[in-house]
Amino acid sequence: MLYLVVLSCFVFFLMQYFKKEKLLPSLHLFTWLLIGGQLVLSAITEGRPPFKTFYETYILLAFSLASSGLLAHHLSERKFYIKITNVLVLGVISWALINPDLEKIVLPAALQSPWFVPHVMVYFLGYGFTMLSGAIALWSLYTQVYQHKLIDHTMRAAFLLLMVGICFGSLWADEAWGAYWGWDPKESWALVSLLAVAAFCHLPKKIRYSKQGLFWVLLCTGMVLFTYLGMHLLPTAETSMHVYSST
Amino acid sequence: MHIKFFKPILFITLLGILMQYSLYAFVPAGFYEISFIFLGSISTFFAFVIAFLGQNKIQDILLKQNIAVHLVWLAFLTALGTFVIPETLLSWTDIHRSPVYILSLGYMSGTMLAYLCWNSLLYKGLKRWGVFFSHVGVLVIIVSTASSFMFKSKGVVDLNVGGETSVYQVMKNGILLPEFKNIGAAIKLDNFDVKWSEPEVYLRLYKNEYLEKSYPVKMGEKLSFNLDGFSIEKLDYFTHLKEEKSVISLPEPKTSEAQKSTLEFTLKYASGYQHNYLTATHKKQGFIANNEGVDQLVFSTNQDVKRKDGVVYVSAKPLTFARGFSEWAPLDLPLTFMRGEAEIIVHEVLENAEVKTELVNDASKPINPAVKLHVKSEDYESDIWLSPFMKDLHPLTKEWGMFLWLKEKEPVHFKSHLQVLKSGEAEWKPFELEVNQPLSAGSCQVYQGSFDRRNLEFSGLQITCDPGRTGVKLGIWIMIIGTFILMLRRRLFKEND
Repeated sequence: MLYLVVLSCFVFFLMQYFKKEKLLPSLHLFTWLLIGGQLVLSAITEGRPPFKTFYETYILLAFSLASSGLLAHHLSERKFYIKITNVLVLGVISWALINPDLEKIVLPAALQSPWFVPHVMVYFLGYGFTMLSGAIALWSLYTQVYQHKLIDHTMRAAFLLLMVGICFGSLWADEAWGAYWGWDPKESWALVSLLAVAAFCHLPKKIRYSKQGLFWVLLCTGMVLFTYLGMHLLPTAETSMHVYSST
Repeated sequence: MHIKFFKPILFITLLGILMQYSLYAFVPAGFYEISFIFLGSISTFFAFVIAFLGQNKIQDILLKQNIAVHLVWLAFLTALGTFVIPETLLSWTDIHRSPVYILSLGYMSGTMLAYLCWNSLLYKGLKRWGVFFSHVGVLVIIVSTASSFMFKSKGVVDLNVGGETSVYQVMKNGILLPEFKNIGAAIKLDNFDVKWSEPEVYLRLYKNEYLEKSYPVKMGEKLSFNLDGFSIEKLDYFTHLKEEKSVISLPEPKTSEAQKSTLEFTLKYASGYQHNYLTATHKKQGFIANNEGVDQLVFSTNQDVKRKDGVVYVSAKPLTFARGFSEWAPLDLPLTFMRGEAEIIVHEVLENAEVKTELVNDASKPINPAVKLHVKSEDYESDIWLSPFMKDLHPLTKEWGMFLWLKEKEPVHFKSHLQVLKSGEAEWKPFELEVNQPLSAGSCQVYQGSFDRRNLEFSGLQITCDPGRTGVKLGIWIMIIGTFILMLRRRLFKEND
């Protein structure tokens, strides 16, 4: 099914090239449905939510990116969002295809909780919006066509989702082992990225809508990516309970 | 605060942090350590005072920019903590409990309180309430966290099946203290359930020592694939190998001193079976050529040799057969060695002898998988046995190697069947305690922690008594509500800022 997603993304590019802009939202929706279908299929096959390994989170991230683009497009009626997210989805899915899971993973008891799905989904949706913001910022710097208002909206959405995601995680941690916050490296970096995004949202409009603001967005995106992918490289990562499995 | 204060304040703040932590790293714990932390804290707090002194109007104090600076600084401190390896320079928990961090939180709280009282009044309608609730939530969390920090107690208790307790041993910073506190209820452990996953076996293919492919090996399922010029096919597979008998027929010896023996022997250990196959290998042109069967020895001895039940006895001392003769280099014959009082002289070693073997899978035995593979390439063809107890990769080529990996069973679900008598109650009540479903007992919560994996004789419970928990949960939900109100109010992606 992931190969279909790749195909759908390429068809999207073709439609863009031939200026069939009216078809783009439907194509993007189709891509979103395919990725969602893959997630559901994985859940049925594995008998658990497919959020445990790196490979599974790549697919979830692609779903989150597609969701963020669709949501932003639906609310703003601007195709710019789905054009950006189509590129990101293609990149993430391609990476997932060359880094598949090789073996089955059993879900440990601590992850068998009703909080597992909402916490991870909300958080990854926050990742999606943050990465969308970063992509728009990069595109703005490259093309010198600044989309500050779009970035502002996506960063606010990211901030709200990341905050709710952390809250869900805290409530879950309290239910699982009686400590809503453990200064786990992953938790700490989730807080770092949230604080950075919060700092951006609290900046005056003059700074947010400047070139300095774009670099701030890129910094936030970098922090979120580090939280997601780079945290396991930290010397303290071995003490973390949040490291994704991989084979 | 005017933007021009941003850089010097940030500089002073960073200087204060650097001074605190770099000196802390080199100064022994004690008076000097505390002094430098104090000086560092004073310098960073001074930075905040400068920010206040720079104010001309109240609105300046509450400018979002001020908060943004402190959010960045908090983020920096938090990130710093994740780079510090525990038990080296600093424990990362020390940073988050340091006076600097707590002072920062206190300053943030005060600023936030003033901000939400003043700035939120500037907004109208729902947005005011969204801002208000979000920030009130954060304040409630900070205050409740401080309360938890001061009054929280946690500990553990290991409860045997049939055992009862109403106290727990206090734990602080991961260390058990000689102190016991009341749980708030009496707890009895009736029984303990564990659900295990099934062990799984995978054939792993490594390229340049990186795992490239992994194939599940299952009883009754075919496994064959092509890989980089090789074809590999599963011929046989055992999960629980039972000892079996092998019959080896020896030809007539070439040396007159040798004594011919046709042996019917019993393999004592399943792993010995795999080992025998491995010991029959030798390197050939950079590849492994695996010989079917064991080394066949034609030997003479200065002792009486008797055969009984497939074991060769030398002066009533049993001689286990064919172990220890395999070398990577050809044997230098004749080879003499001692077995007890018997001198054994090996005259010939025969390779590729016919072995008729009968192997049986016996599930009553401990799991001990072995898989037989047929490996074929353009210039090489062989049958190979693999077991998880081989320590190294079995090389196929210079780039590729194979390994049979046994994924041991894991606990996927475990729960304690408890009887609970809470304070003020007259009857014991049953309770199933499992991960993510804690037991509330007064002001304490009991959690399912670990368990005795080997004998399933005890269940490890974690107890937390935290008066600040309710406040933190309340603060979290207030913050979430404020967030949703903000999301509704702002009509994201449509409204101008």
